Amino acid sequence: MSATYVELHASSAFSFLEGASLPEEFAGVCAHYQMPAMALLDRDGFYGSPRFHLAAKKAGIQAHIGAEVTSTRGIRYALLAETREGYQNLCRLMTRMKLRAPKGKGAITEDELAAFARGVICLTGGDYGPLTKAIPKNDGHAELERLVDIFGRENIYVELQRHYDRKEEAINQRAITLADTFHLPVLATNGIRYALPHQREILDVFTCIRNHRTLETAGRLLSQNSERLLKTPAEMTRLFYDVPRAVANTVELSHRLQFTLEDLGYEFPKYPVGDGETMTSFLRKRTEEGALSRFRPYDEKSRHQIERELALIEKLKLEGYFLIVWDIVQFCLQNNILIQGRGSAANSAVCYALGITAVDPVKMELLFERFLSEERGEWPDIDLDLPSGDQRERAIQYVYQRYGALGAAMTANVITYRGRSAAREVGKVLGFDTETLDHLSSLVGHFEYKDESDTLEAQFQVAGFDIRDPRIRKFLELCLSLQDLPRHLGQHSGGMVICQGQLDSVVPLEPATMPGRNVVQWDKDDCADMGIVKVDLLGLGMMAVLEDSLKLIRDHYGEEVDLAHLPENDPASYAAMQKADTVGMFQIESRAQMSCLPRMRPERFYDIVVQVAIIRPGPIVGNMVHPYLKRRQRREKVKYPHPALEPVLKRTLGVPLFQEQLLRMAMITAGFSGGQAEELRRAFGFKRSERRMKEVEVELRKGMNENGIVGDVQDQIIHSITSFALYGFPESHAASFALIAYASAYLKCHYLAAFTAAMLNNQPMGFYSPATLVKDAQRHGLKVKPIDVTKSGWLCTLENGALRLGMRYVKGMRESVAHAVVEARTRAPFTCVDDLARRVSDLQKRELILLAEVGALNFLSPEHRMHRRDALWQVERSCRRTGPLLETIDVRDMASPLSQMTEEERLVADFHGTGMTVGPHPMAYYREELNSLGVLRAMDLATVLNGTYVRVAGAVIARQRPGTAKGFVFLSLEDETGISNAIITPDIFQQNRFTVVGGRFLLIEGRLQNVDNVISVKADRLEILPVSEAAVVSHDFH
Amino acid sequence: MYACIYIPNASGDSSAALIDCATTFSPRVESTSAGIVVFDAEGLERLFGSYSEIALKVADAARERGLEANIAVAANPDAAICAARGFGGITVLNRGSEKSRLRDLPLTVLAPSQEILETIERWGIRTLGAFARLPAVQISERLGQEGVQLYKLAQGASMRPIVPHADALRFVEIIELDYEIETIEPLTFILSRMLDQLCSRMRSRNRATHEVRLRLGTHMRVLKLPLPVRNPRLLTKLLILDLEAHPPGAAVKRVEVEAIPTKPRVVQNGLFVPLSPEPEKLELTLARLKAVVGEENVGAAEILDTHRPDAFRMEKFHLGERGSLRMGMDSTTTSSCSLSLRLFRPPLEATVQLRNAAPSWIAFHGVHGSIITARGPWRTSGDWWRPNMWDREEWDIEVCDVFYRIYYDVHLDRWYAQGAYD
Repeated sequence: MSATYVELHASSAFSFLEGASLPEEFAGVCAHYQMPAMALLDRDGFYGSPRFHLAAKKAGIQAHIGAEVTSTRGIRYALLAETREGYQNLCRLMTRMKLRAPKGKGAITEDELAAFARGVICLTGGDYGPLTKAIPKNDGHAELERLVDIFGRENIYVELQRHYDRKEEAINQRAITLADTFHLPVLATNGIRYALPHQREILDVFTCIRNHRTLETAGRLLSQNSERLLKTPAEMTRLFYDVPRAVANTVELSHRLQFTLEDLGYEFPKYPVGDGETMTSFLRKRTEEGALSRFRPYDEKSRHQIERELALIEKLKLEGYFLIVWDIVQFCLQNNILIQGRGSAANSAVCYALGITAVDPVKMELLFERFLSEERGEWPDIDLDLPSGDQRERAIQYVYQRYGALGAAMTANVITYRGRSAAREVGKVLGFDTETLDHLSSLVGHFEYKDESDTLEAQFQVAGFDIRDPRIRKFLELCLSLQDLPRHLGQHSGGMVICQGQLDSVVPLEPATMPGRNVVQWDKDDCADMGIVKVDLLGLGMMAVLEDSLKLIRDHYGEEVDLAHLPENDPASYAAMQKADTVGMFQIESRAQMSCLPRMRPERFYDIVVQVAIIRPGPIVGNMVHPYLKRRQRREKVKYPHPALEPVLKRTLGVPLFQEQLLRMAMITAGFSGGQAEELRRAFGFKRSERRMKEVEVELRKGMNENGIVGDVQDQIIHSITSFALYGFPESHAASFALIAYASAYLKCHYLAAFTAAMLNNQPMGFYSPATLVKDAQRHGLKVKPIDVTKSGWLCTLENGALRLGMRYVKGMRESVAHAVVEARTRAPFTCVDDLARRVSDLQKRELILLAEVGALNFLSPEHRMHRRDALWQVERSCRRTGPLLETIDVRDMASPLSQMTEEERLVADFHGTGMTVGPHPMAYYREELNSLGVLRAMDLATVLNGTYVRVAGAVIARQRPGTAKGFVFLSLEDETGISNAIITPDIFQQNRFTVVGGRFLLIEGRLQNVDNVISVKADRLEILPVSEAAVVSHDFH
Repeated sequence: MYACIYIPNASGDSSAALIDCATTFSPRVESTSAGIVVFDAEGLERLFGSYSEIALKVADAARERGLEANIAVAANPDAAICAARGFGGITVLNRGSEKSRLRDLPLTVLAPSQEILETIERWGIRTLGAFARLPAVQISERLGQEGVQLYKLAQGASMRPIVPHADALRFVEIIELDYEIETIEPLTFILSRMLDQLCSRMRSRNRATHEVRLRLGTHMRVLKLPLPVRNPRLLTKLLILDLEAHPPGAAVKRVEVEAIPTKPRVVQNGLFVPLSPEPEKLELTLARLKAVVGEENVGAAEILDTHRPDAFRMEKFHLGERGSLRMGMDSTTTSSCSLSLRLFRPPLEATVQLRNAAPSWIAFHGVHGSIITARGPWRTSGDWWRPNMWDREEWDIEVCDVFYRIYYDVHLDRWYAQGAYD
């Protein structure tokens, strides 16, 4: 295309509330106008640059990179990166200003600008540009002189913007004169903030949000007109008819700007090795050492696989990457931090040998190409699971310390506007009252499943808005327009990027909200797209549970359990899984998993791998679950879509369950290479595009046709692949998780007290509330003792084989105070409430009351056991201090005139104060009445015939409305004997919405489904039971 | 004995009616809190019969005022209040029976503070009887003075004098005329006399007024003043000017003037502050102007904070501090205007011919001719969320040696001349 104009000053929505279009929209419109290039200059960052770069590449235009950088004088310098050095200077400049200021603030000094000016081109205009600010004050001559000094005469362009504004034009005329005086080129830009005219409204809304105003009160902060859009070259030529050189110079400058993000200059750090070693030799040695101890046996097949992988790693020059991950793993091992690789890394024998992953990929026949492929030309992705909390933070800090604060950083997470946030903020800007907006927000769906009517429009209508009203219509329109626009930058949960040399010369860094952490301006996809390698250090609650369990077992049982060498095929663990007795076990505890386990009846490790993967949207949507289970139960013959697929699908009885299988299916049936197959997965992955999916499908069909696979068989294979690619679980990932699942099952079955204590100490996590975990443990014979200030610590502990609840379960209790209590009582036991209150001066009245209410003060006096109200009576007096003179006088009126709490009162206090009870289950108190109503206990259901009409009742402990279940709701009810399950059809749910969503204790009537020991009640009628006022907590899954 | 009238869920405006109701029985009335009044019923038996009969009559009187009330009579005000809160309808507690009669009532009838109520409830105490059974000294140790007071109340043994309600100060003058007045002139004389009275009363109480309400039969006018005034002549003048602008629709037979009292103005002028018109005189002048040109056309123009050209609103004129900038006028706006623009209000519709998308000929209001030079367009648009959004293109043109600002209204598809440059 022959260029007449190039837009060189654009701000996207990544200027956070100062631009209204996504970079992709700019690239699209730019290509439509046949503009060969465009420059994106977001405020103080390169936040949108990778997306702009990729979109521009796709659209066939060149993406120039720059930024508007704020100075301490309030000026914003529009700076373009001419060379890689210029880009690196801008990165460093912005990192410097960001890291020394609070999040979202920061400005450069003029001296810093001079220090980082090489390779940078400065435009003088823009609303806050140096000349725009200087000309009205003092004609701009001195300012321009200063800029020439900083950037050099050849790197200054006097910028002219025309938005049909008188004041702006006056400045332009003066700028033209100055340009002539200094012999500088003039440059036309439109200082654009949006791609299309109607997006001016979004910009105005953003302006209000930024300034905390409404549209009515924002006044002249809003745009003066709608001219800040991307204009066609013809329009710009017309607009600058009197200064044609300003337009022509844009093309000339565009030619000068050589730098693009292709030329990022990123290098993954080299791992330091000793003299006489290379990274390759070092990696080979470490792999060989590890392989000898980990592969059992280290046979020819394993050797061959390792050799193949090492050859590819060397070819792709990835030795440094593997060694750096190995180094992190070594640090964790040396510091007793559990660590385990997950995801596609588990496909690699080298990762297994280096101790990064825990699954033998050779034995499991895992597909290496899923992890690393020469064709893909991208970095491998290693995710490491660490115990959530402090241990993970230690690992992260180690990486910072090893590579320097400017050598490593977390990846960002771009928070975008969604239904609720858009409605709330637009509503505020339009002046709607808070109550109305709260009401509207509360209606935005919570459950994962959304029926077709769950649109924003429908939610508006339910909230009582008349969408025919123009104001409401506008509200709705704006909410929809704001969807997916960036709102602010957050921090990704665990992704870290590391760089050889200085990461701040690759991408600007910012301080994270959490102290001691830096974050890059790009999210993990941007980093991947830019070829920056990432290590995910993810926090996994169950890893923390395992770690804590091992410590408790060591301290209290005197035994050492080695997770890497747990007994294989432990009968107790498999028996529990076969009975679906899996509360608390990693990944296999959910209601859906429990309903599958009795049919699956896992007998060996690979069954757990399948079990972890099978209850996923992929197999469910692809209708794979039932065929697999039927074949496993030998009720259906094993058959294969095509004989050629037998080796791939044999282990899963002819049913594809894992992502690797679909890749292999594509490789076998359509002749795809490993890399092509991975491309297929990405095409159908989360960032799916219709066009790309169609293209891949065409390639698949073409390949199959060539291999003679046609007709229904072809359709069937295509269906499996396409329905599966999005949600399918990688086998390697399932295997890593299955290891943790098995470990959790083993610990629960053999060290119940330690496992339960560790689970309780790491809440919130998992599927069930602490109350359910405690009741389950009690049903398994564990004695659970209540919170007691004379015995309990902050955490739950073990006491002679029993579990003692910790003070962390007293709602509102501060950890520091709990530690102070423990410290005080180790010096001398407490004698009474007064003594406790006096010696632990940090204890507030509120905390003492809470402790008394939950019975934690009952045992304070060795000679006289108080009841909870006695304690409450004493607390009131203890909190009215008498002053130092009378304080030490011992007034031991332990007894109170108050009567004991009733059972119901204790129950309410327990749930209110700790969220659980260690006493009988609330349903137990009501059992006689339930018997008279013909209500069966959960444990009785196993003996009832399928199809019998039954009544069950219990506390609701989980409500689910999964996206794959077509509107069905699943309830789990708990009574004193166990958990029963109920299925509610969409019709019954609609009729009983309030009961289902709001009832704490429910009675459900319906037909029992008891097939293959999977038991549930299909509800016909639901009723709220007045069992107790206790605030039983249900985990409702959204 | 004391009687309590209690309206459950009382709204704010029922207090006056309650007091009114109670005062028909006794002069000693206490307005205890919203929805509760207590009055001294001692000795009323001779007038109204037994206490039960008195309670019945009080209930009737309340009902006549549209109030559904609980009535209780007891030997002390607080026991009466508790009983009225706790029992529906009519309750009479005989002297000495308070404790036993109140024992089953919930603690909320004592209206304790939230903190104390929660503490007592945590103890499992739900009724006044249970609370009254606790040992007094230990209650004092735990709940302090407030607890002791509640404890006495729970026993029905509190004794305190009531705090009689006092009428608020009102400055009202009413004249019922023997004959109807149909013109303003005779009214001037009457109003002047009434305002003399009012101002003299206000002076004696060291009060002035900032609002005068005039009721002429059904015709009502409210005169709001920017400063406290107690000058009867000024007030009369202002009221008369207002009446001339808004005369009553019918002949007048009853005149009521009420002055809302406030603290009088105390002014100490600075020695070097230039003299400005007396506020009273200024107010009078403004009132006269309003009578002539209409209320909406008098005041100080306030420029609105918007890009909409020539947007302003009229604010009430008052003497502010000199030199203060008006909202919307900042230094950049003023400094960038080197020419003055004489605005046509309202803008004059124009006929414009275009050449190459620029105006080339114009005719409006006696001016017509070829446009020698035209600079523009200058575009403004906004208020897109409102029905009256605007979108216009302005041009600065030269016609017959005069510079004008003209604009094209995009929505109306019309041209206007907005003003001429000086």
